[in-house]
Amino acid sequence: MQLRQRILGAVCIAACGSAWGFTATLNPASPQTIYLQVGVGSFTNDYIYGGQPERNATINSVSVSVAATALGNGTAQTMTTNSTATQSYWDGYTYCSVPGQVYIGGFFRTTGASTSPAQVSATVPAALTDASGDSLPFSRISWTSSGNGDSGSEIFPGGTFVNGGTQTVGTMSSNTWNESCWTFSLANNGIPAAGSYSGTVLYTMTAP
Amino acid sequence: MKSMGGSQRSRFFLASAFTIFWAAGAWSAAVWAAPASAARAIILDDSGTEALDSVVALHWKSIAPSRSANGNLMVGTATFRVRINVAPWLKRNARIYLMLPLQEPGPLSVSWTTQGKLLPGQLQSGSRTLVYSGAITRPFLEDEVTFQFNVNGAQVARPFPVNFQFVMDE
Repeated sequence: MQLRQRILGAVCIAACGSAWGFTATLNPASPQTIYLQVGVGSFTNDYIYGGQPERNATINSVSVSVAATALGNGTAQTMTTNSTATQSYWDGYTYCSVPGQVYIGGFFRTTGASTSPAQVSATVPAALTDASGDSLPFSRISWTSSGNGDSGSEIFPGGTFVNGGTQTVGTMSSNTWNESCWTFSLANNGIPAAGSYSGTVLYTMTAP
Repeated sequence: MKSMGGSQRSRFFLASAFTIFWAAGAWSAAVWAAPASAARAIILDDSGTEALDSVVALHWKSIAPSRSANGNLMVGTATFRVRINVAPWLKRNARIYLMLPLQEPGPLSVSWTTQGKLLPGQLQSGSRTLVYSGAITRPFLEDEVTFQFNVNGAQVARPFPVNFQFVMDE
């Protein structure tokens, strides 16, 4: 009987020995993160120093007052912002200049070799309106894109607002930090009724 | 069915125990016959090893990525109560390695700390690192080992197993 068990054991080491070893199961847990900043944003510190993104509910404005003498002269009027965001939260680099530029940046984190970029879109009202019900088409506002030290194309390129609707203003590849600085201007054609015209654009980031 | 499974398991362990004694003699004979340079790695019986964490949760090492997409490191830790059967080598000197074979989904690195019986260290998949060198004085080498895994997040999208082995050069 003992011999039989020994023989059985010998067979087992040949067949079963390689099965030894232990296994750890690794799970990419809740790794998805998205961050979009238009104007001011919040990080606990610069990213390279361990900073973490935070929520910031501030709505920044971009505005211009057109002098009566310049009204309708065809020269685009550069707009300014109340945003104070000049530094990139990636490393603290002074990337945008205020009050002339609005910072836009963000990222999305996802596991795997993602091929679909995240979309950043703007939801635009049909027009800017004043208290009297007068309106200006939103398409009179355009923007250019740059950034201190940048060369070549921007991840969030320049454009012109649509008159009501949603338009894509940039895309972000997964697991990369993306940023640009926008300079807005108002097309100064025609003479609208005097007034203070306003409208709100909502920027949305959609990650796959 | 449960009790039947338990019975089968008991028989397996019994067979393994006999195997070890029987095989030790066979290995001794092999060492005699083979030249010293032709060392063969023996996979050790670590079937008594237990995971204290059933699943290792991986998290981004840095929540925000880099501009160049190089900041994709995910990390996670897990503790194992390691138990290696070294009875066949009692009263002999041994060098035991932790081996991380090449496996899917791709390269990964791991480092670990111990309670002192085994050596701390680190290794990349496809390699091995010495974890014990010295005399075998007990039938089992036991230690609590905490691993930290480092994985490229761009390579993983779902849970996956990582297999380790303890090996000894014959």
